[in-house]
Amino acid sequence: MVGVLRRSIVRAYSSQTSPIISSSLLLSRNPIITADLNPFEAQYYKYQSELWRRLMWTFPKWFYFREGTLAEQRFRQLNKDPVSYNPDIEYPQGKPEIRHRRDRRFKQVINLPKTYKQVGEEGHEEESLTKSHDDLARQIIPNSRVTKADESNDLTSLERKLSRTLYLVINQNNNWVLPNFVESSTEEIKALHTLAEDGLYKIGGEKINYFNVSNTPCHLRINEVENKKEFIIKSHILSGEFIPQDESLQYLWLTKEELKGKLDPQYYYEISHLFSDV
Amino acid sequence: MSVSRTFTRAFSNSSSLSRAGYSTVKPVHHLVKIEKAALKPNYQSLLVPKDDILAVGYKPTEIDQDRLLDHYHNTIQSDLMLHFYKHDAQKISGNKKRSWGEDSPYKMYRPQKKPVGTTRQTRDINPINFKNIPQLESVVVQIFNKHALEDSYLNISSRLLLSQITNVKAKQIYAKANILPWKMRAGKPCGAKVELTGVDMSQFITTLSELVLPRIRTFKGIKLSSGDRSGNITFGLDPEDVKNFPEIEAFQELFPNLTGLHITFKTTARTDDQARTLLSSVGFPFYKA
Repeated sequence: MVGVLRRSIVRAYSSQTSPIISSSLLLSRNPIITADLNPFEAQYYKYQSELWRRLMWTFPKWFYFREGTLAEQRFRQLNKDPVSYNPDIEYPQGKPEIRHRRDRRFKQVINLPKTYKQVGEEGHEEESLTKSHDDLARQIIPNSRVTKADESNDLTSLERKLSRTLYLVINQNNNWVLPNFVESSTEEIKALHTLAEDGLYKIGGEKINYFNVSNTPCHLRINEVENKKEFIIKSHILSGEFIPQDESLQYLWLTKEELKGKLDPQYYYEISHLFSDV
Repeated sequence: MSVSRTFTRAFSNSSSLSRAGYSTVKPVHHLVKIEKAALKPNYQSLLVPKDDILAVGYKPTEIDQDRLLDHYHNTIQSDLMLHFYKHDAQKISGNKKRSWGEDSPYKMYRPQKKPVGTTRQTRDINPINFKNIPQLESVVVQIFNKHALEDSYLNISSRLLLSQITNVKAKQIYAKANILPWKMRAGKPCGAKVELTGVDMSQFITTLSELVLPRIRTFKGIKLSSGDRSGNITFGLDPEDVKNFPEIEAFQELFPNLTGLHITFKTTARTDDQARTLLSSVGFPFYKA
């Protein structure tokens, strides 16, 4: 009861001076690659896709490789016919069920002639040197899901944790917070999203291409300590880089879990629902 | 972008239910016609939807991570809700059927008056909240092949084309009307169509927006005027553009009479404006003609 009373007294006191209106920026970098799967999900998808391949229609070889052509000859060399069924033989592993040169008990695997040499094959080294990056016949090797920034644990890089959403936080008075901007003059009044935009360019340079989701703030945080109303504006960074204009400014790009460790617990509790779990 | 699930079909039709007359004099005859032969227990298994493991033609649907669906759930959905938020928004009522009034007992069971100015009712437009954020329901890809009207075997290649680029077996479509100047006769096969949902839809959208459309030199975007006023957007591709599909590109000699495509995005958005916002977030540009 005493606590409630004291609280109401504080409120009554603070409401005498009108609160400062400010806009905070929730700037996020969206996931670039697909989410990491847990082992169960990976196994589930593996099982389902194998089942799907098993039930798939037979490849219409007669349509893509006309009989008598060179291409068909090459195709036949790579794809040997399955073991055919002979009624005089006993098959302990199950009888082959051949339809259109496919054993219906299994999925159909089709080998196509390669246009490149694989690792370990003869001539692979020379080929990788001679073939240019634009050559369509080159082997396609997907980029690594783990980047250099991940390896060096560079928290200021935008190229870390590609499968997660990252959020920009800056250090203010030894507290990690979302960038918060207050109107400098009371003469002209700016819209909340322009206030956030100007503030972002001021602290992070103009080499940021960002997308403002809406002019409507997504959250209002009442900061009783500083007697401030913080309207949170949601936006995504599309390209460019956050380059601190003031050298003393510390900034980080963090995921939700990392934010929990960095931000003040009360502050995190108030805004944690704005962060994406992925 | 909902998970594909075809509903269990019943062997009956409901058209007679909507008829006005109903006999209550005994003996009451059944107004719902039932094909009794189809009720044989042997046929029950045919009614099970295809994504159920008990179905005869079972086809797994969750075969891999759906990149587009994940992006929608992680990013687009919450963004759209914030983007469409309007302070103090009210429901906009659609053009509905009107009552004749209640001052006379004769008006009680009389079918309602048509909506003002039209024959069809329009839907209400509700403010966007977490329950009705626009999402993609399905994509319909359709081909009209006029050459097939004369030689119906030419329709095979258009069905094959659709099956190739969408990974779903295409349905044959038939002419509905007799139009002499177009040599169209009712009942003649004249094209093909597929309705894509789930993984196939995501795959098709990704191919379209990342591979096919960027390679069309004259492509400016989807016309801003396209749409059926209730959140479904349609646009077309020329035969030349269809060649950019990777499945067709390498095998052009196998598709001698290439035709254009009509692509319709069915969304749960109630207005075209919302549907366009959704589509542009998925990667389709729009332009003002």
